[in-house]
Amino acid sequence: MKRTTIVGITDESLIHPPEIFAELSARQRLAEASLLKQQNHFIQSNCPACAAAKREFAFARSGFSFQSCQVCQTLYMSPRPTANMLHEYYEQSDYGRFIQSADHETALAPFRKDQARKQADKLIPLLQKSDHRENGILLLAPKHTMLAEVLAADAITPVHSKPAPWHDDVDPQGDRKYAIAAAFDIFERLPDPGTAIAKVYQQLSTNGHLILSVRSGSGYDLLTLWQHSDLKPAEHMNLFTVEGMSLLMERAGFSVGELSTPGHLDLQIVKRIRAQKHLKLDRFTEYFLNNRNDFASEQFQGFLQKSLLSSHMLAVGVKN
Amino acid sequence: MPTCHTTPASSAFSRSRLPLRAAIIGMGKVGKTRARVLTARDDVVFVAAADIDPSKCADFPDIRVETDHHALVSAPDIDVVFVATTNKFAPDIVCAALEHGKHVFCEKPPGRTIADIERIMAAERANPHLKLQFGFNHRFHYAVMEARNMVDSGIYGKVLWARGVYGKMGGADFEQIWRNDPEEAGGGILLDQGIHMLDLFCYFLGGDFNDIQSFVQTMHWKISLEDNAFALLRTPTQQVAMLHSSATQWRHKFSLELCLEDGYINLEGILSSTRSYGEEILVHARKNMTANTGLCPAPQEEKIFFDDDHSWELEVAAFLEAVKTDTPVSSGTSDDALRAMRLVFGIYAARR
Ligand SMILES: [Zn+2]
Repeated sequence: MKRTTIVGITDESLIHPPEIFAELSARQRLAEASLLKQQNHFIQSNCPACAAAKREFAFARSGFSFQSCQVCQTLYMSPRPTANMLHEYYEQSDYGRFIQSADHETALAPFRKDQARKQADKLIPLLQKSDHRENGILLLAPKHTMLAEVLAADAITPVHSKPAPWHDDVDPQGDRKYAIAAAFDIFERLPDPGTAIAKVYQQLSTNGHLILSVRSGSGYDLLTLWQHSDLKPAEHMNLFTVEGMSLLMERAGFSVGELSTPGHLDLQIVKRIRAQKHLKLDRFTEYFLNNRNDFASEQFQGFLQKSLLSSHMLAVGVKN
Repeated sequence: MPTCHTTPASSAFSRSRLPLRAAIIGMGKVGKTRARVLTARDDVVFVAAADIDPSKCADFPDIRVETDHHALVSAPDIDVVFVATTNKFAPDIVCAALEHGKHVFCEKPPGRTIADIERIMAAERANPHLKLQFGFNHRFHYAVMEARNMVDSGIYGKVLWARGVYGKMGGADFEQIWRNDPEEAGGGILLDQGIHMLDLFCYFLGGDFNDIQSFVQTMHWKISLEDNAFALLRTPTQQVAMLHSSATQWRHKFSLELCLEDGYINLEGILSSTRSYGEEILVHARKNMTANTGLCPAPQEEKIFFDDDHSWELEVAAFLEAVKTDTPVSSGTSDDALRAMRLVFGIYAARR
């Protein structure tokens, strides 16, 4: 097993550009409120990672209920919106239209460009060593245009799954089997990740790789901030723990090739939200943040990554 | 100088016979490691071993034990022979085993001289149906394999230079062990350990180094062989590799840095049974030329930790796969061994 960490800081403002952040948040809250109006039609869910029914209430956030799985500690929303409701949220709301607008794209372009290059640097070696490299890459997302551009420079043309993945539909080209499937920041949003990952498994060649990144349910930022975390409930319905992700992959038939938490923003997120919401956190965190410098934060962040305790997870499954 | 007979052997091996039957010649530390790998597999049975000290085979009570290897390399019920003896004896045993129709896996180095590997290759050519592999197991470490994938994928362009440090501290009995006896070993730390780094230089840079400069010295230990070697190697296409192989590295160290046109890949540490070479880590990054000023920021690096070392298992698996499927050996070939030996002796010859 291998674990990936990141050395060096990304400024969180690149991911949340201040010039659009207020507008984005306001629209997003309206879209959430619109979703909540339909909560009588929300559906109950078992643990999206291990399918266990045993759970305890974790917290409520903006009217949405989050549960903690008693088996794998994955945090998940239940009851939750249906795929149709999510389609409205992402595609038809003001918020949905805004995140697809040119303004939003432009504001995020520097971050997305850098991110796409790094994602491509992971995908290309994986594809080159595949016995089925001619079968190509399946990208489970409608919005990876930047990544597609970077891959195109290496003469790789990925196929995008259509329609949007919150429909759990990952079958864009019938019987075609891919060498690699990539799902960056998708699985936390899916109403039924178990069904989605089973379909991905079917779409891969033997020894094919699924590479995915998700917001972690066992990251320092989430465990410290809990209900105060910077969650967008509808977009973070499944917060897999490292253990839960392993179970999700194995249930679908994958063997786990890598589980890493290369997130490098935990300390920045905790500091920002603590200040914004005037929180008093646990004794250790308060002492640490009040008395230690940026160098210590960087070291601590490195420890979190290496110990699989950071805010974002990278997982690779291999089809047996 | 002993010579090998180069007449083709009448093979006792039937390709369809599975599981294969294996013997190990030399049951020191490395021989025992190979034995444990073999006993964990179901396509091969570890049936016999030879060692001048038969008590070294005590952990394997069910096998046939000989004190003379001749009985095993000629035994009709043996298909594959693993050679883990001192450098002095390995070439003769490899040649004898090939002549008797055995597939052979031999630990590095493949003898004490270039002539040793050349006569092994003559025996190999006379028996083209047999498989011969050498134990350059570093190629089967996960960090090395990942680095090779990255280099091959071309994401960072071509390799410009490599810088390798491989060192150990010797130990309390360092002056007495066979590895520092010129008669048994043929070379010092460079031939014993540095050869792995030279093999990796070849693995990543292609390996046709034709310009060599070096210092080869005995700096500390009371031995007649070298305890430190420093070398600069250059290919005709101007790629340069820099080596320091040391037996006075008081904390064990493995470090291989690869600089490519658009980024870098550094291997820091390598997993071993004692973990004395530290964790096995691959650090890589794309060069960062985005700054508008002359001061480019340090690139954001990805650091990959590898928790397991299955290099011995993977290496044996690759060898047995070549035997079972009658396909060419893919890594640790006699050509690889010859190339590494030419570099070792090129560095000795270039010493100033
Ligand atoms: Zn669970």
